Amino acid sequence: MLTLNNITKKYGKITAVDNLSLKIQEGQIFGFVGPNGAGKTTTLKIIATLLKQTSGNIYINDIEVSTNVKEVRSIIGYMPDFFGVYDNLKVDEYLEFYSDLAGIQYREAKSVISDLLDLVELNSKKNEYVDSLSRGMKQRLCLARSLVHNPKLLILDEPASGMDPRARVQMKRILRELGKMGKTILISSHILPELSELCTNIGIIEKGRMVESGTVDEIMKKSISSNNVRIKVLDSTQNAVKLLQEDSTITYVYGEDNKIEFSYQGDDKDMVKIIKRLVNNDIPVVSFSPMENNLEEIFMKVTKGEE
Amino acid sequence: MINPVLKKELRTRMRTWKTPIIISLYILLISGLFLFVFMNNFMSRGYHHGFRPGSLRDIYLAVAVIQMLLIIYIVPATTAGSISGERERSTFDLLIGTRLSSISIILGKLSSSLVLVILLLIVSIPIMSILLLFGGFSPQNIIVLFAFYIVNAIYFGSIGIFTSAFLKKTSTSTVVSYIIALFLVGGTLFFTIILRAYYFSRIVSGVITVQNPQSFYPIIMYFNPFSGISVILENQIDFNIFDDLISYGTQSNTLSPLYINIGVSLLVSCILLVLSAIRINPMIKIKNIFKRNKLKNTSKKV
Ligand SMILES: Nc1ncnc2c1ncn2[C@@H]1O[C@H](COP(=O)(O)OP(=O)(O)O)[C@@H](O)[C@H]1O
Ligand SMILES: [Mg+2]
Repeated sequence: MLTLNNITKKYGKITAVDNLSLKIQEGQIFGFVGPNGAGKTTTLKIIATLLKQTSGNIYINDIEVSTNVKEVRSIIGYMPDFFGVYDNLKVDEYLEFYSDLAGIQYREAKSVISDLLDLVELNSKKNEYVDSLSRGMKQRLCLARSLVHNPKLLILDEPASGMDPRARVQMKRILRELGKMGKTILISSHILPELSELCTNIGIIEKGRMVESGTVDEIMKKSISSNNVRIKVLDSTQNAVKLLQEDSTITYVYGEDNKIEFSYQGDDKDMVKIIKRLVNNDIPVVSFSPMENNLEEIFMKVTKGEE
Repeated sequence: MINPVLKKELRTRMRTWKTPIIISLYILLISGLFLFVFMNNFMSRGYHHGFRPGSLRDIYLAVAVIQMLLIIYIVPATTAGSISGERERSTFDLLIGTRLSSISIILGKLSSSLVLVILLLIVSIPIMSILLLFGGFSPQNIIVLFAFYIVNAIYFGSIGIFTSAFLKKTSTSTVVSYIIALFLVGGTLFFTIILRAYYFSRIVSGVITVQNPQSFYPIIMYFNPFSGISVILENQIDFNIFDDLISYGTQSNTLSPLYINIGVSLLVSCILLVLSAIRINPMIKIKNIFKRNKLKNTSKKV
């Protein structure tokens, strides 16, 4: 469905996307995860024909993107991370405008718009002005907008960012429904758990490079060889983190407030050594518990998350 | 199918308070001017002289020139935010990423501004028709004048769209488009006067000899809409607004400055609109076009 071959994008001296390759099969829901500034938006904009790559090729259904812009635009639906709406335009007129732009006949557009408003639960708002809607509603409306021409591939740039938890749940439900409808979806986020239940595949990007990619299961397996532990301390979190970082068996440490999470390679004997070392250095350990592997930790480990 | 951008612009523009205010002010200005010139003429000549056709001519002249100036004043303001406004509102990517071509988007923006101008011209018809009623003017006169206004709405609209496509902020775009408009009206006239003075001084001092010095007409003046409208007015009411400042002398066809002016205006408009369309197309970079040409040139040399 979608193939990126060695895409590089430079903004002057900054390399936002660095030799990135990616393959998405039809029907997949691909989670594109990475910290802020990793190059997600840039990559998605290039796919959506809104930016031209410095080098590399993109194919959608074997169509070369940068030389078949119109054709590609009718296959993809794009929702930007940040967007605005027009004043003095009502919800249904907003969708009508974008279906006009997509070249859809008025009669067909009317029924499509009504279906889309049902899908995003905005049918009751169709006569209200767009700029009076809440942020979550605008985001759903923008999603409906990206669907007016019935695209096969959806490109969603952080569709749930800045939403309250309820709105997030609603957005997830809609996306799941779209997945069931057979749409291929490429969705980005800087928070992995948001995507882990929704996606079939995950790609992790950092500093413009793809550092991990595969099915959700594959990525899980990759890190099972290491053990994850969460400990709680009374105080001196910083000292504890420092101490753990010096340990060569420990591959990853993250401390916040009085909680510290770390991964180490080895068995229970090594664990005992680590705890002994903490206690010997007067770190007041309150509790410790082994953790199940989950995607968030993997994400935290793979990316360094410099923000 | 009507241009989607035009359709949406008309829909949203009609809902703002700006449009009715512009139209009302326009009617007020034109009819105020009409009355002012009318009263001035009527009072100064005394009642026993009655109403002279000459005062009709003055009214027509005043209304024609002021309407021209109003269009030059209004059109940049309605187009200078057309693209930069989309960027500022963060709707630009959504607009540009659709199947509609860049040039259609540009033309949609331009035509929505033209619709406003046509609306303004329509509301001025009742006032203009008073002149028809008193005689001395034919509907053709007004049609020619209006057609010329439309050409200039395209001309100055293209300037506003151009600055809007190339400059990020609507405020800068507005200022720059007004500076360009001011130059085209005042600047070109100023340079024409200077050039003429220089030209005649050279004739007087015998540096050059020409058979028909009156026909001197600097090219820069063809960019000025008043080169066209002065021809129209001279033809219609036998009045040269530039008096001796600029004359067409004994050119074989006195209409030619009008035709050249229209040609220049439309050509400049086309160029500006195409450049704007290229500018808003994310898949084409103007820099790259030049780069590519340079590469071609250098490779030829090698
Ligand atoms: N228009 C631009 N000009 C210059 N640098 C940019 C531009 N857009 C993004 N960048 C830079 O490119 C990098 C990637 O940005 P972006 O693609 O927005 O990342 P993400 O969406 O993952 O947060 C960042 O370092 C950012 O500062
Ligand atoms: Mg982003």
